[in-house]
Amino acid sequence: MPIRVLPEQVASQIAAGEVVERPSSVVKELVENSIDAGARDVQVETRAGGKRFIRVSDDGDGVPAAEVEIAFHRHATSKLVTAEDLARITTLGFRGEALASIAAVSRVTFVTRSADEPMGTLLRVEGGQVTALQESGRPPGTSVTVEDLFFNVPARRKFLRTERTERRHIDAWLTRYGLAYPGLRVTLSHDGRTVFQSPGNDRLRDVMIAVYGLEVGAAVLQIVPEEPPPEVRVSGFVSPPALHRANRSYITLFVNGRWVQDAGLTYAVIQAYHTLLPSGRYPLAVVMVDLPPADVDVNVHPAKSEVRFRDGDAVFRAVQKAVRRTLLQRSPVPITPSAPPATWPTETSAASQRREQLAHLRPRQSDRQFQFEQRPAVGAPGESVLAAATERLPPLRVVGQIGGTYVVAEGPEGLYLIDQHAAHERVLFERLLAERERAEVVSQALLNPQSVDLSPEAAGMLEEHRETLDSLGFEIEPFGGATVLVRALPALVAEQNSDPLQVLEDVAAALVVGDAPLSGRVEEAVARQVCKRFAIKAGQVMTTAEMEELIRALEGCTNPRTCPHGRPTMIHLSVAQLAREFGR
Amino acid sequence: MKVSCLQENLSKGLSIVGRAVSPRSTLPVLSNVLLATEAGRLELSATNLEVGINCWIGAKVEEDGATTVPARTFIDLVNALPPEQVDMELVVQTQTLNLRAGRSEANVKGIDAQEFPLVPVPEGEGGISIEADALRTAISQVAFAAATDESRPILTGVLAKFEEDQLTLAAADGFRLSVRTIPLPQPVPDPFSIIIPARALVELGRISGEQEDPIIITITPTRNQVLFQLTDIVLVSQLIDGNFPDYRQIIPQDWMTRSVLDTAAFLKACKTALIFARDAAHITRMHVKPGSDLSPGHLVVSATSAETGDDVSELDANIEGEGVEIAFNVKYLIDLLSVIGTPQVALYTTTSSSPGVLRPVGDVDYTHVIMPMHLGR
Amino acid sequence: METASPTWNLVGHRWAVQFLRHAVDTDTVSHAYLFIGPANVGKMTLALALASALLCQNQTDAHTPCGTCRACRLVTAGHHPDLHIIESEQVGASLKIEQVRDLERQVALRPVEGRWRVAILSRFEEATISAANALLKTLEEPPPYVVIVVLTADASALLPTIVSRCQRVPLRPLPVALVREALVERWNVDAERADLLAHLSGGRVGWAVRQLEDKAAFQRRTHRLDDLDRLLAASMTERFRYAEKLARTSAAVQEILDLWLGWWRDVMLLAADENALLTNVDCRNMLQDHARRFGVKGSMDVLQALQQAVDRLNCNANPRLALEVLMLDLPR
Repeated sequence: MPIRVLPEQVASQIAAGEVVERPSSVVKELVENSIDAGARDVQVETRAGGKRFIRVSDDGDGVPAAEVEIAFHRHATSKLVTAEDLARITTLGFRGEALASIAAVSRVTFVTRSADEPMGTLLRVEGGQVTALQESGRPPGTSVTVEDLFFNVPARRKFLRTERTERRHIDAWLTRYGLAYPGLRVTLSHDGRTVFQSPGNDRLRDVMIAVYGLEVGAAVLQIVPEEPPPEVRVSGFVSPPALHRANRSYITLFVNGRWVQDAGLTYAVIQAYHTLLPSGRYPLAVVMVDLPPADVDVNVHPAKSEVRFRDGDAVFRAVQKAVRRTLLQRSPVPITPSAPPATWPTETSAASQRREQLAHLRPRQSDRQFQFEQRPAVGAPGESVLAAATERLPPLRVVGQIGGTYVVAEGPEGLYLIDQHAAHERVLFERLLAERERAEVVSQALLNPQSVDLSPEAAGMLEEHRETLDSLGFEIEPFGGATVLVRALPALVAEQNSDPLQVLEDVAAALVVGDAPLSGRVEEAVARQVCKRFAIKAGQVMTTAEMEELIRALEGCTNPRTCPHGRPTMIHLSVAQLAREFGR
Repeated sequence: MKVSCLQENLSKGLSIVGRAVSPRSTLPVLSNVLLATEAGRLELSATNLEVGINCWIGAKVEEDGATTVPARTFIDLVNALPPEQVDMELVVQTQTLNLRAGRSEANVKGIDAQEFPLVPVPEGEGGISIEADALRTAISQVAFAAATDESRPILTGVLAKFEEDQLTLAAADGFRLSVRTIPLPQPVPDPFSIIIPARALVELGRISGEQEDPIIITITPTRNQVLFQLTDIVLVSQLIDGNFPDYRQIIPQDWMTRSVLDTAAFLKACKTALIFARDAAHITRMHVKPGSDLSPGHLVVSATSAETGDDVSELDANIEGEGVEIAFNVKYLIDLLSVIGTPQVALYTTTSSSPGVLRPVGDVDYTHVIMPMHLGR
Repeated sequence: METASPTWNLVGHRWAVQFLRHAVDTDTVSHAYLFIGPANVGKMTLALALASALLCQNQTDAHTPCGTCRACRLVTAGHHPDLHIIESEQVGASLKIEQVRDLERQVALRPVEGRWRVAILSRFEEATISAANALLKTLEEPPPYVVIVVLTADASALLPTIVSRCQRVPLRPLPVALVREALVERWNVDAERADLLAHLSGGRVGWAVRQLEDKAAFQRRTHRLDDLDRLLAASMTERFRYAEKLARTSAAVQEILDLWLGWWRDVMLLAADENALLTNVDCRNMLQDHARRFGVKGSMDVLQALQQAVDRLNCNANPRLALEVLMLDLPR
């Protein structure tokens, strides 16, 4: 597809705003260009979290030599010619600003070769100025190298987060592309180490295995397609009711191949699980919605992760129905434990239906780990699902403690029962991760190094994530075989009144079963184990001052309503609920 | 059993043995106190199967016998009696103990004394005699460094090594080590080591407060228990099985910097630092700044909290060697400085990641090692 | 009770007693044993006998517990300071890690009175994973004076690493005649009742003794067998109502299904003209009636349906659902 400069009219129609805000946005723009160029294989390499170096190489169409320079004009794009084109967007990078914006704030080396031409072209742009343009050899496709991002904009440079954080953002985007394009082989490496690779075999389940691990990948249910295909098509995979997560961030949505954040659609997925999940737990899902381009407006926000539908309700219903249908047809557990039918259907059908449901039960041994606990739902059914999990807490007043386990508090919106252990875990977890960001985690050296025997897999995991462990206060080194030598521990753990080395085994175990190979979640897995050890235990009587301190700290948390393991930290009884219960 | 004694004596005896009662045990008899007549005295005894305490009080024995009564009930009852003579009589059939004092009378239901664990008694001579005050001080300087977590039971104990004319006590919790040597009046014929639960020694320290005569230490022939014999009191401790880690390897032999500090000033600086350090895992930084010919050296103690603020104290110090920066858990320092017992303390350091050694100035028999802290990278 | 007996005063389990006696006699006691056998077969009794043999103060007769000394009496009562009995709070609850940690702490201390510390961990299949892992640590390097006895009905439900670290002592149900004899001689039960109980016990003395103590047990059995008979003639609505009621009394479900399994086994045996092995010897008439009505094939089908219901309940199936399926499969 040849590149043209957008007519001014089109350019102005496009929401303004900086395209490039951090390394991950560079990666995102470049990968989208690759996808648009018909690539089957995209490789992303970064160094120093992308702050120093990003390279995106693809095997796509490549840009003909004659059009290379024009690619760097602002608002140049090969996709849009007129305003009408905007109405039929089916490709991703519609704003055409990407390359030019990136080139304005970094040193870009652009090497490309169109399959029709014998030689490729190398273009070098530094801070927007072309410094080299020459012939260069490479296989068909394009490779864009972006170095020293924001070298000429110190103000922006200052706002970049730690390498770790930037890497995490890049990980998140690459995973989404992997999921959205199962036919695309995506490879991501940081500092020479491959951290993620999607198989590119056109099978979404295989991508999910690469992202979430074998256990989850094998358990998820494929969304049952509707026959005949409706206008709004829904496909993808959703978790069976026995598999759930602590927050809704495991619900990934794509509309016409573009990752979107849409509270409505997310809620549609959650709604489909109504009564199937313990309260405060959320499904894991990768849901693709495909609908005619004319029915969706993607140009709501420059970050392009929001959408507006012509008929939002119809899309909501389609998603909710498709997921619910899948659960009803494919779920391996009886789905409505309560409310039996008032009258019995004919014996034969009832019997066969029950037999079928029972036939899916697995033997007791392996089932044990997966039994899920039923938690009491708060308030009327359905309400608990609606409560926003990420909302901060209003200021609370401590009333007392129950059973040495729960803190009773009062707020403007009613009564709060707070699980002291879960709440303290949450407080410590956020504090520990914040300290880690500032490189302020305190580590306590051991009197004499202790060896810990682990499984080879666990030892390997610890070795692989040594840097992360180090940043959280664990100083370890391999000690031959599956034994590791511990020299120092996080001070939080060291002060603990229980086996300090046990935490390392817990960490290793958590990493082994962890379903997230991406580095961003490793630190959380480790931090969770540390906090679990240190947090105040149930049954420990607290003074009013201690309770107040805990509640103050919890109010300061960004995610006060769940503990790091995803269990709720509190039960909230609103004034209205109390009134209703008392029949006022 | 029929016996009389003074309420004050009974009350005092119970307050001593009462500490060994185990209120929530799977064996019901362990929440009881044993009362038994013995050679014109009344023996009180309680045990939690780790520590047992026996105490003898003067009494008029009319009829020999023994029983056990619920400790809580009995202690509360005795403390409520008037300070007069208490007459006790056991109804064997029902194991009910009848008490009379002044115009009060009470009946307490007991459990057969046969159910009470056998408590070994010191036999004959041959115990190791040790000065009470020295032992008490040594316990206070060592026992606190023992581990309180149960994952490595050995470390919840204190190593007691008897060798020639010395007793060495050592305890370590994985992050610090405390070692104290005290002289024995009589050398032991053969060296031996035992591991005593730190809790038992702390208890011994507590009940030996008024002890002036030497304490006699005996090991039972099965080597299962150690007995500490005081005047009218015997504390029995179960021993911990296993090998104590070799603590001598842990004590660094060399140092780069020696800082001599005023103990009281150092303790005060640490207590101030604790106010801020408690939000940050108790990390407190020590900056050792050697002086010159004209000015004295300094130790700067500082602590920072992201939430509440920071604090810096500068102490005069006599410094030999290079300057160094090192961080410790300030609670460990406070623990040590509170018991060190000399006006001056010497801190020996090498690098910020090697162990810090503290010794009282003018006392070579006590060594304390604390591992440093550092910030994650 | 008799004094020093070479059988350690146990009913049956001769081989196991001999094996353990030999170990005690030759001072080759293993640091860990695993007693495997169905509930109430005698695992705890044997474990206590072993504890007595180790802790008895009258060590005259080649380590046979005298049964009368203070130590033996305390062991029998479960009150010996060197004996630690650990189990979940009740059948069906879990044995928790705190309990194992507590044990660990106690066995680190040398014995109080005797040469040994004996720890008995009952129904260990109820241990949580973390509790089992904690025990594993103690099993790896137990202090020399510690003997750990793990009791379980199902060795396959334990961590293989635990099983492999213990000496296995399987305890099988006893012959009916032996149980009958013991009931008559030791518990003074009249011959007829002893015969029935021995048959019903399935060779588990402990079960039979428990029935003696539980006066209502026999009545319950009669009711349950009546229910069974009634259900065979009942309408589907009635059957479902029964299933619903049963599903709510989860504790009894297992017992009832076991009883029914035994019943249909008898029916099948009778239908096949095999009279000698019957369990429910007191209900011959009703058994005969069922055998005539349902035959070998019919009773086998019911047995299969019952077994399936038991398996499903073990898999945590919705009890009501599982029982309803069973009701659908019951013949008329």
